[in-house]
Amino acid sequence: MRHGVTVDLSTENRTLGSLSGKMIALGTTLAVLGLIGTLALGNLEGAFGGHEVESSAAAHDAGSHGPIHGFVTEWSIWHPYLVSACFFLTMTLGGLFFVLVHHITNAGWSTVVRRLAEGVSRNVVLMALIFIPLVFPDSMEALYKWVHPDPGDEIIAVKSSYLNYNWFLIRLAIYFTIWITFAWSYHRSSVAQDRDGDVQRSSRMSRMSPVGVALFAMSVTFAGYDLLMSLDAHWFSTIFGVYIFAGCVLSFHALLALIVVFLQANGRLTRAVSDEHMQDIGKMMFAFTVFWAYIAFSQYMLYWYANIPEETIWFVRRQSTWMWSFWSWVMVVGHFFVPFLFLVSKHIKRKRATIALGALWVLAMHWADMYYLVMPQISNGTEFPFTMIDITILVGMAGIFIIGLALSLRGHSLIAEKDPRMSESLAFENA
Amino acid sequence: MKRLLEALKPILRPELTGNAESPEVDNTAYSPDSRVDLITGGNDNTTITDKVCSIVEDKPTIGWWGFFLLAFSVLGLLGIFVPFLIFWGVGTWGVNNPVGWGYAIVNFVFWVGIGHAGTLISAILFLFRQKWRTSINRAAEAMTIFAVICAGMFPGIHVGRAWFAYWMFPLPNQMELWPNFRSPLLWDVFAVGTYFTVSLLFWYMGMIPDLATLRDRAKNSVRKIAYGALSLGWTGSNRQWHVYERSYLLLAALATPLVLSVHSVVSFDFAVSQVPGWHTTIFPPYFVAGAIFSGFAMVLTLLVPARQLFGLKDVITLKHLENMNKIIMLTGMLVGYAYSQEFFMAWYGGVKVEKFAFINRAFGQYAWAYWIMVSCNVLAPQIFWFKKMRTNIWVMFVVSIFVNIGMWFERFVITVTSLANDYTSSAWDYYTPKLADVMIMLGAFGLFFTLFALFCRFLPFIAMSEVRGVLADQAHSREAALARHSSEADSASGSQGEN
Amino acid sequence: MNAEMNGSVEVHTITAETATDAKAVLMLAEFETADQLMDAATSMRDKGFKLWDCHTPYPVHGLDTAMGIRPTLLPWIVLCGGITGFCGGLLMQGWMNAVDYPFLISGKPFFSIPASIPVAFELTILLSAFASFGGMLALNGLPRFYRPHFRSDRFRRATADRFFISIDGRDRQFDIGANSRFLRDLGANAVEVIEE
Repeated sequence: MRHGVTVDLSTENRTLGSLSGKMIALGTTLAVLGLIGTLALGNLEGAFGGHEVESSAAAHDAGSHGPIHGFVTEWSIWHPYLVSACFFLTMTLGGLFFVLVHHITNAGWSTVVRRLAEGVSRNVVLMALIFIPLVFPDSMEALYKWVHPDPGDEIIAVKSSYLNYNWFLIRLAIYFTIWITFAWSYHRSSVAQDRDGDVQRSSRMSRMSPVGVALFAMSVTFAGYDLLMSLDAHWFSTIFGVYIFAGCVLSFHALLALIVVFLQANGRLTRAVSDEHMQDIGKMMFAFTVFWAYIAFSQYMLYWYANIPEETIWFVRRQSTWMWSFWSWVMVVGHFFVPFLFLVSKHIKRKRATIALGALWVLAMHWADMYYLVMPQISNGTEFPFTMIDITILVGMAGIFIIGLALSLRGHSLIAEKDPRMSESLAFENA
Repeated sequence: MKRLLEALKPILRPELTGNAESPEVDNTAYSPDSRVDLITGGNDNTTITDKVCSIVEDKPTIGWWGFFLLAFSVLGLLGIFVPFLIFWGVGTWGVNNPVGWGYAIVNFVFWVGIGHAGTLISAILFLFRQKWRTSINRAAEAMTIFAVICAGMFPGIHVGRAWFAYWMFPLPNQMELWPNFRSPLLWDVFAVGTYFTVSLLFWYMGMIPDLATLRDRAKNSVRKIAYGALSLGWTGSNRQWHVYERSYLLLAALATPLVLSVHSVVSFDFAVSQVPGWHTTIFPPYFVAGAIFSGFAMVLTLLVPARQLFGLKDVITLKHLENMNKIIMLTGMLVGYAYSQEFFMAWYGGVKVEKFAFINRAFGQYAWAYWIMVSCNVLAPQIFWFKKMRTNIWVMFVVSIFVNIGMWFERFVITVTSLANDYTSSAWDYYTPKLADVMIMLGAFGLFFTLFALFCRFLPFIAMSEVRGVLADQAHSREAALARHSSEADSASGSQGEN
Repeated sequence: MNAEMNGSVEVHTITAETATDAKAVLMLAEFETADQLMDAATSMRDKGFKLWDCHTPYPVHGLDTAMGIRPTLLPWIVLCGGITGFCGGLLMQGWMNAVDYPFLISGKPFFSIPASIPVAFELTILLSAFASFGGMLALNGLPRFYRPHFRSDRFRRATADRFFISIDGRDRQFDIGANSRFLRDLGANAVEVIEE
């Protein structure tokens, strides 16, 4: 802090400028590729077309005669869609959390990258659009068996006042309203400060942030229950919301590192965001890698140890075939040990190439985590449902996400120009 | 003349003596464009050193003696009732057939929880570069050690045959038996043992430079030898500081997952079982949040009177207290979150006995305990939404006591309600503590406060070396702000011409 | 203690009373502020001193670079401690419960990874912490209760509010006259020589 050299911002390229056009072009290409790929491969896979009747009959069959009573569905195009949608949604929400926590703690170091987080969090509008196809009755039926449960399923009957189509839609609307409101208003206020430099804006945002974090915690928890946990509506875990939250924050920091590396490779923010800031972003990735492992282990160990059938079923489904066992080990090794050992070094966190590699790995693992939450719910986990559609949908959504990012980052500076803590952040050093 | 001034110093500057009044300065104003001063009253390295050392060097005050004697007499309860327990066995306790875990476990979890604030302040806030920790970390770490001592006492005496307590450790013995590593109770032995050891190392290591200060100021040979031995020959050498700081950082990085793990392992004692109300996956993070919550409350309970008694209001300022209150509010809400998720899942899961366990907690025989818990832990801290309240000494002191009570009852509710009414309704019974339960519980408080009083008297209460670093930062940021303002003034006068 | 004029610079010499053949072992220079010390340390480094040190009442940020101190080995020692703890913890549990005296309890496997993680984790932390603390003591050569510095009364303030530079008598450039002038020029309040 004391001995840091203040960066002269006036010589810094800190607008997206022509890059936004390139990002939109890239995004469009990816989106089109994804769409064409999905349609073409989907046709080959037979994902579209009238075999819904057949498949729900098969699911019913599996449910009543399977070796273990499972609450599962047949593969549909909406499963990979949900995986990728949740993958991007969690990242976006991580961005919102970053902004709120920045204000709640009156943080200093993160001021230079806060605008990028605000940009990411604003993508939640886009995520709302992406979720619209999911809530049509057809897609809901394909994903969530509780929409039309088996007759005589007492467990579902108990919670039908919570798990029903209308109430689900209302809840989803509430979550998105909360997220969009906070993402939008914090971004707007921050951009307005660029113009008028009013420090009262910072103070107001700081005062509102505890409310934001409280609402964020509740909405992310219940969104996790609704979108992912209720895929197996018989199963329950009180820590599930925290698990989703850990994924949100982890994946967002990985995304943030990638965005910074991308911008700097294109000559933006080359000095404002220094090695010191990269190291801190890396530290957060490291910390949340550990936090994710802690939460995941707690959930696993407690259910493993108590060994109660209605609880272990969720894990049994993910361990009883070699494919899913392998995938579980990928989570243990790839989601925890590899990034843990990789990111522990200070030098790795400070070099752009290595931190970008780590961030890509973390994002890949986060996607694998979402896959692990959704896909074993298909056919009692006895099938390994990987198809090229998983990839094409991911690519398509990534394209849309990049377009959204370009739109929400252009038209203003890439850093919060007149934030009162900017000079502190620019001069920041890891002591 | 100079010597005369030296002699008059305590009279001329009364805040330098132990129990004098130091001015209360409100440094909590939110200022987005500059960091507030964490140390007020115009202190510098010299006055900070004098102020903190005087607590140890001056004669103890009446306030200290009063506190110490009271705590020590409460500690006497342990001297009476622990031998009584060992002689008669655990039948002197109120535990009965379904409720085999009574006050001993409640107190154990309570005290381990209290300990968590110290490590949070010293390790996690250190990693997050929260400078305000420097004024409070020493006392909080001391409190951690003493709380873990109190906690460790309970498993020791509740094993029944206390003289075999060493069987908890994997020591070779004549029967060639080993402990059962699949039992979460044994995990506790390792978790709490590691926690105590690492906290002690961390505390002691942080104290070495300050002990050297006391050594260098010591006037009599007892002090010279004692502080000389404890400070290991520290000379403040920068080559040593370099390794020392790296080691401190590494210890902080190790203590951070450790503090999460300890209360998680304690929660495993409950959560790995199949007992309704205990077996729920959110227990590990929920216990950790609760532990930090109760620990911060205890830190406040101790520091609010201590800063008054030792004249440290300009070192442990309102800003420090406000920040602690914010953490209490945050962790209180996390605990509230856990309560709500448990309740929701008990219903959502559709397991009848689980649902019963939670309804029974809130509306059954122990409803009184449950509602004490909820009002103390979830409702009371909500008052800290208002800045007036979280900067009011009396309000925060009262809330901190409430939280202590509430968190004790949380452990009581978890332990007792689930056991008293579990699967076998024919075996239900109501648990009532006996005299020995209550007296040993009180005695543990006596032990805790006695140790804390001794700590205040003989060891540096404030991490002086770290506070000096904060003072240096403060001076530098003031210079920077002055420079900025003057340049702004220049540009403002320049732009006036254009207008 | 006697004060002698060495050139134009005042130097206090502190000699051990029991010393028969007194020889200078240490030179101490006192500075008022950390900023002065920082500049002085840079000059000392550039002058090529090897056996010298700064003494400060708190870790002064940036002084490591000014003095040219190289990064410490400590993290590697801690890593070794951690690996030992983790592997040792797993082996201990497996050997004790599954090999040396296997006994079946509550249908749990004799050895399993989930149930072994907590103890292995705690031992990882414990041994890493020992390595960190023990490594710090070893690398710093602590405890070492006697040091010539302690002969100086002035030096007592090094742990409170003054900043010192010390030059070891064994340094190749050790020279009372030249060094004391050099240190005075760097802004030292006082220069002392400790003899033994």
